Amino acid sequence: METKPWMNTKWWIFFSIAVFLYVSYKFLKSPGPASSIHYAVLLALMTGLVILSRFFKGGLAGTGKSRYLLLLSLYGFVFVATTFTVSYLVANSRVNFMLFLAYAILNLAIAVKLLDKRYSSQNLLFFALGAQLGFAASIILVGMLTKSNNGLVTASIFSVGFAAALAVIFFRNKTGHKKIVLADSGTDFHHQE
Amino acid sequence: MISSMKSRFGTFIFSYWKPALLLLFITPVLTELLANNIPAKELFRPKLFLMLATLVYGPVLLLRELALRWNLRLAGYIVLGLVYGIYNEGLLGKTFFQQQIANTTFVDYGFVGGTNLPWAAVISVFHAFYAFLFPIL
Repeated sequence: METKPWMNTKWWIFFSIAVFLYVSYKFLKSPGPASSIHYAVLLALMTGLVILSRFFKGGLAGTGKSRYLLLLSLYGFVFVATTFTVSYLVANSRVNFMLFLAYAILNLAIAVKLLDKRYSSQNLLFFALGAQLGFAASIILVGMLTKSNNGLVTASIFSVGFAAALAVIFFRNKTGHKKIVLADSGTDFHHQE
Repeated sequence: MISSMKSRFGTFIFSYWKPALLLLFITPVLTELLANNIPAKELFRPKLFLMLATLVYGPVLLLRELALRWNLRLAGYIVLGLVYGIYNEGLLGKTFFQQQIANTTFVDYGFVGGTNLPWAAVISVFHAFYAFLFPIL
């Protein structure tokens, strides 16, 4: 991720006001099932969240591969937390739900650990790879034993794909010239030859 | 000459206009195409794509600039992602307030004060990650 702002400040203000006016006009002109009270509540909620976000300062940790791994872990977490919680509500299968919950927690744990500078990136990659492969094996096994539904098949494919992506990162990291090492000081991981 | 003019126009609004345009291009693709919401044939119709890249997903760029200027950490990015979710589905799409939505899981319960609360919660989180965090990370 590029860490510099891309946009000039005055144009940022201009576009923000333009978007705000356009959306407000569209909403209030044809509110559909909503009312102006709904509109006010949404605006208040958005303003509140923007203010809240200012309490979380400090910048993002990690660069390069550690950032990609973070991205993958978050993707796994959200994919499971949204899609399969919904599928649980429909299919009402406790086995599915528990497995996917475990998978979501695992991915979240990896994402959180990536931001913890006590762990080297090599060890984290190895941990993440092992965990993903283990999880993929277990859900495939459960799927075979229970002859379960599409949700498990989808998750198996996803998990294997995830593990494959991690494997690529891991082995490229291991055999390539570039290695990610923990910086002696500061919060970021650094690449070095 | 033309590239010089383009560059000048670009830097007039953006200091880095190429990555900014790339972000505007990939965000609808990641969110609508890869999440299987809009088929490719529909998505790449110029009128629709232009609207998605500017009015619908343009605020992703604005929020990204805000997050960087404020030097937010991951939690801050997620909170701004929720703001984007409310913008997209609440203000623009108004799906928060519809009882009948495409995803039938949310049709029969949690409709309070004219608002479909379970749907609002799920879709805001979805946008926080798929439309905001993943493209900008």
